[in-house]
Amino acid sequence: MEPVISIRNLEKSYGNKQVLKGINLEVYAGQVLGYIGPNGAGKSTTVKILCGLLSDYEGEVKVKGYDLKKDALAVKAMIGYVPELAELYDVLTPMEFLKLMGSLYNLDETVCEHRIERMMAAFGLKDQLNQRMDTFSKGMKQKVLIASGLLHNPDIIILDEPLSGLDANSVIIIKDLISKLAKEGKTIFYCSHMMDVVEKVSDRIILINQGVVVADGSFQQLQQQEGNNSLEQIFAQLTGNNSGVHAADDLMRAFDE
Amino acid sequence: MNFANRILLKLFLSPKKLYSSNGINTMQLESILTAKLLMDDRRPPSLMQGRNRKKVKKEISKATLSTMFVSAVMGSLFLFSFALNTTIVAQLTFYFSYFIFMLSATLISDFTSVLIDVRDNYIILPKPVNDRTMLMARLLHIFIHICKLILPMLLPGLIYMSVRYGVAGFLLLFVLGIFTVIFSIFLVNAVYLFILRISKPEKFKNIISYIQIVFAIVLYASFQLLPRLIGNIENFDFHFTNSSWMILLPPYWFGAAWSVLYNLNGTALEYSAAACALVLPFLSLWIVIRFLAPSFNRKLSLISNTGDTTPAVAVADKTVKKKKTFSTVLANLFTRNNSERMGFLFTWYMMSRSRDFKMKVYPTIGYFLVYIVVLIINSRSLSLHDIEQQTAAGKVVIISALYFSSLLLTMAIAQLAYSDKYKSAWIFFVTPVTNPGNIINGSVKAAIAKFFLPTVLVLAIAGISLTGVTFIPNLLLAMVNQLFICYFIVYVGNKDLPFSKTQSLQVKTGNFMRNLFRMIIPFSIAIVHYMIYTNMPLVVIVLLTALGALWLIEGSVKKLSFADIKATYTED
Repeated sequence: MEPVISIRNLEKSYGNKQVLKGINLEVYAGQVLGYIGPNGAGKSTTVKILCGLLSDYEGEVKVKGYDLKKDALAVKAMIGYVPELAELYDVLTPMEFLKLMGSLYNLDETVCEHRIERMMAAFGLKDQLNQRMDTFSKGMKQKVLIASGLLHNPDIIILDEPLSGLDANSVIIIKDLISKLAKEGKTIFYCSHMMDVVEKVSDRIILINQGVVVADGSFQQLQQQEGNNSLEQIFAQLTGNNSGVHAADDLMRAFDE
Repeated sequence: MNFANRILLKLFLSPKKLYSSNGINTMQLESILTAKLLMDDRRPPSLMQGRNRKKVKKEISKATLSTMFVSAVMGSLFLFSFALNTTIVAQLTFYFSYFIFMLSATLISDFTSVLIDVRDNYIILPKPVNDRTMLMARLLHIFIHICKLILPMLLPGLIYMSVRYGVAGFLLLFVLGIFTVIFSIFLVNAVYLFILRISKPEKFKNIISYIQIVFAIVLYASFQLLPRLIGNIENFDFHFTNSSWMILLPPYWFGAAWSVLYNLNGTALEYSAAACALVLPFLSLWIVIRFLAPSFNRKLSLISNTGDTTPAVAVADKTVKKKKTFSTVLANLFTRNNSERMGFLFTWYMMSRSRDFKMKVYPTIGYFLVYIVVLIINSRSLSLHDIEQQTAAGKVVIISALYFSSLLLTMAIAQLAYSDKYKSAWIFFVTPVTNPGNIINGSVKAAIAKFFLPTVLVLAIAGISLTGVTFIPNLLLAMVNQLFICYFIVYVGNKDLPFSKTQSLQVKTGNFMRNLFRMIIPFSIAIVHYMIYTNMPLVVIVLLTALGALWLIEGSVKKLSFADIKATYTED
């Protein structure tokens, strides 16, 4: 089977600091890929490269056979990206913002409008459709962002910490949505710090540390390899950082006179 | 969207064939521009930013129209240069000076805040939009933005020209105005690149706001001082036709070009200046496109990227500074307990570091200095002799100097409660603070130390060297009086905790009365002081009484409890 995303020897440096030191990765259709790693491991750099935000990298990135460097536009058209940190033009209304997104993906206006209405209704934001987003809560903005990533029905969906700010009900909706999208054959690239969610949602987990892949496999495989129970513990073990325990001890000791 | 945006958008999008044959996706172009203009419409106008940046509760939807209106008003102010009693070349030189000046000032602030939006990177860049479309969208956005600024700004001048000098005058001004715009864009680009070269990207925004402050002050000064200077310089008109150094002034080029083209004759100097006006804008345009623009965009994106992609934390200061800094020394000197110290230091740091606070208070310092210069120029009949001998006129100068010195302090105190980061004030409400009065007192003291003591020091040196030690009791009395007034304002005012409110929640009612009192009380006290100025025993007695009053009111401010200040956490 042809991989949907194939990454070979991906390297990237900021100045003289090398962030990615040769990432190799093949992702297949219908996979939900949990992409995890400690802060500064190169997670968001990989995501930014994949979305076409950063173009000065070494190595090869191919999406459905298209080289990201040569056919950036074709690749971008297949990807839906949900950035973290609620980056959106919040003086616009959801309708205005999503219509802008739709037209950037060259969607027909009436189709686009129809989809926006249905998606927002499904998220319970129907009444806020024409209100400016500067008054929205973090969760509401996040829902608009998720809608903006799905609007053009992309084959590949990149989610960067998509659950931040969402309440428990919405989290259930999104988790459900992810597995339904995967069943339809969509490829999902899921980036997060929340290990318990990654453990449940993804059927393949990639752990990177200091710019290289240190673990690759399903949660069960990782458990067998490392002989541990939770993903959290596996994470701590593989990122070579047992200081977690010590840190808590040190913190407690700070009270000592 | 309003009509102005719609017309300009239609106009700029009309050559659709031309765009699409150049590989530009017109549908994407149109929707990006529509969204951008819609957002411009909902942003508070840039000319009012800084001082009046109240977070208006009702939604802003006609920001563009009000910006255009403000530009038009600005443009009418420029007409003042035509009222100067001098030649048309000189008048136009002043006109173009203001024009270049205002345009650059606005562009400098808009380039970062309006035209280069960091969020573009996340929102538009991951979409299948090609580079040409994106570039065209940016360019057209800038063009439309500039059009909305300069057309209203030029309008009053154009009307004046067509009435006074007919169609030819009108057309010449219009064309030269466009040339000026091109030249100003070059200037702004150059300034940006220069700042980027000498500073770190993180500091960039601070430097831009300082430049804006300087611009505002210079503008105020020019309106105040120019007419006076013209009367004072000998052979003023002569310079404008014959002094060859005039060619160094870009506004002169455009003024001279107008005159040469209108009259079809002029001096050799005017001819060469006109040549500059016609050639240099295009040369600079070429430089901008060829050399500045590429690195400009790259560097600007560097600014927007800092903050999230640079993990480089300042590691340089590894040796933790445990030694006493200037601010802690001051805090120890002026405060008596921990809460007060905390209020002092907190306010001191915020005043020195918050861009928001500086933008509101620092221009006042500049206006104040300009005003002093104006006073000096106006009162040239007054000599140092008057001050030394303490004649009536001399005394007026001394007293007004003494009592104007707290102007800065009152400005600062009025701003102390407000901050962009007002939500951070939760720290006062979750901690077991029993006497918020202490914190308020500490922050007032910080403002005094920062904005009053330096002025007093200057006054003390000047006063003692001119009039001798007898000046000291009077200086002290004025100082104590002003501190009392300042504490009084705090005590009867809103009594807010430092940096805990947004500007929008400023209580409107009673503001007029309060401002009136703010004016009347110092004024009447100053008059009383003027009458007793030379009566030394009386001055000392009043000084002691005032000290007592100051001590009492400081005590009451210190004792303010949460019940007294009625402070609540502001959640927007």
